Amino acid sequence: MAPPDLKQEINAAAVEPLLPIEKKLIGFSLGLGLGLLVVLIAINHFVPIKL
Amino acid sequence: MPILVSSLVVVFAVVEVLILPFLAQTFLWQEPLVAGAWIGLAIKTDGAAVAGGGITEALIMAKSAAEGITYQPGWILATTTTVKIFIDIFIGIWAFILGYIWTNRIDKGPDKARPAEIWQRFPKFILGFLLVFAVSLWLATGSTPEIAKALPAAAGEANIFRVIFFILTFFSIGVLSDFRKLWQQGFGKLAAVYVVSLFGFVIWVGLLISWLFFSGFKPPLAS
Repeated sequence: MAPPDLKQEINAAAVEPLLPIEKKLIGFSLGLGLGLLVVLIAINHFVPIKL
Repeated sequence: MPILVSSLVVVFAVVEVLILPFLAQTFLWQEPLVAGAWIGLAIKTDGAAVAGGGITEALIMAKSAAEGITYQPGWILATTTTVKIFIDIFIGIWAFILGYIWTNRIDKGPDKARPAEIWQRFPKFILGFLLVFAVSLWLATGSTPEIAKALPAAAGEANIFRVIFFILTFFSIGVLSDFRKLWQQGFGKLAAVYVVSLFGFVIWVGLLISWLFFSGFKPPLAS
């Protein structure tokens, strides 16, 4: 069996736009990540570690 | 396609290991822990990140020593390793949560993500690490003082194998990478996307997060 031509496969792949629910999950993930980043920065600021 | 993407990630990881530690030495040598965390965030694949952390530590300690500052060894590498491991843990947890939401709430089909999958997909070799850690801890704290005293030397011997296998890993990647074939199969387009993501986004976000959490903290000085 001949190996698949990946270049052809990539070019032939149909465009799959993101579904609304996928966009919602991506937005939720990013929002949660940024929110937790702010929380961690606040903890780091108010309760700094000491080496 | 997965092989192509895996090759891309590994080849870029090798390129990053060769470039980023020198950038860290040039621009971040006065903030060694920021440099360590940045390497952990920017370099893909755990092995390459830890190798990059080791190189960064050697380069920064050499530059600091030239300026008359001698840090205790191990702190920069430990920062890289800790950051990388925490990324892995949180990616694993979040991927499971998203998989659970998708299969149980959105696309309700016969295949559902179940908590048992955490164990099924868990890389079992980690159990070996935990076992070795537990045995080492017992030897260091629960056995005779003679054995505990000999443990650092034994760990040093094992470290030689770690270094050898690291070298063999990257040597094997180099030997097995057929760039002409990868290029023919559309590697160039994917590589361009990867370069833009890496140098336009990943290393800057990684630098910002590392700076926010680690700037101002220095490793202890060697006595």
